[in-house]
Amino acid sequence: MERTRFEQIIDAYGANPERWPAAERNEGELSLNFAASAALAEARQLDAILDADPLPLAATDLRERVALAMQTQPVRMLRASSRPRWAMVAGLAAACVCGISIGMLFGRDLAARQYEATALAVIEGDDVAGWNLPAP
Amino acid sequence: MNDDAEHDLAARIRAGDPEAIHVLLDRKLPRIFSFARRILGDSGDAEDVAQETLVRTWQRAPDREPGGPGLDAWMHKVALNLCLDRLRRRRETFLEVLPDLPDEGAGPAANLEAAADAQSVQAALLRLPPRQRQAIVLCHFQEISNIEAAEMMEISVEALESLLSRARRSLRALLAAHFLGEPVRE
Repeated sequence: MERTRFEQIIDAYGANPERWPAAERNEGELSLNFAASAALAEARQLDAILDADPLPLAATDLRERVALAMQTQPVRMLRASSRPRWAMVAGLAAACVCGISIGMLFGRDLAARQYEATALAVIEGDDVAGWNLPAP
Repeated sequence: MNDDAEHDLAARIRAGDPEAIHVLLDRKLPRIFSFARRILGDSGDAEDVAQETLVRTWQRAPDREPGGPGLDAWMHKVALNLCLDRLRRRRETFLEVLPDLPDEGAGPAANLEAAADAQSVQAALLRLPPRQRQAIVLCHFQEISNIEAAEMMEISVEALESLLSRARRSLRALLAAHFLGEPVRE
């Protein structure tokens, strides 16, 4: 690998070969043996500082909030024009079972009952537009 | 997660497998949150972005096309676009007022030092121009490949490398005083 390209890689990606472009990694690693530059030492220093930066931590209830938001999303509906009605009903029934399973998994009886009720109502042709669904 | 595991997870999401929710929450939520947090510098906004990204993934995880992005890259693209929306709303400029770097005379307790160090890196990241910040967070912290990062940012790999080089030079200058005892060079 040409010295210029090696220095460009160090400059952009740092001293850790794991972050180098995959196609140039092997060739670059060979160049490491012969590179004794100040640039490489500086790159290693900065890598160490950045790598030591701890992972930002989210609020403890974020996982639960996101789980609830995902639970309230409707299961992907089959397009009515492209599938027979029996397939749609079967899909909705599966959604109902899925909703119950999700509710049990997360121990949130209220959310599971609401999800199940919604799926059953859709199967029976009710209009759920005005329903008070759980907030995401 | 390797490519096969990513592909399997995407397939399970499209099938509505409820167990896939666990995997998304356990593996992807912390990763997407930390990405958004480093881009936006605000935990509340980052939590909103992470939530919206996972909800969209659950709704519409894509089929992988040959040569196309995997699930992780797709999720980062969604999260990046959500972050950019928020940055545009804030009308962020390079000249915004930034948090002060921590006082060097603070006590020597390890947790205080760690907190100060973390603040310094985050503060330095926020002082980068947005495109440099996006590039360095994608490639260094998220370890996204250069090709995928360039595609997400809709630039060439050469342009990405230019952003990365400038970002690293700026970070070194900003962090030198805190970590290396060198005079600040800006």
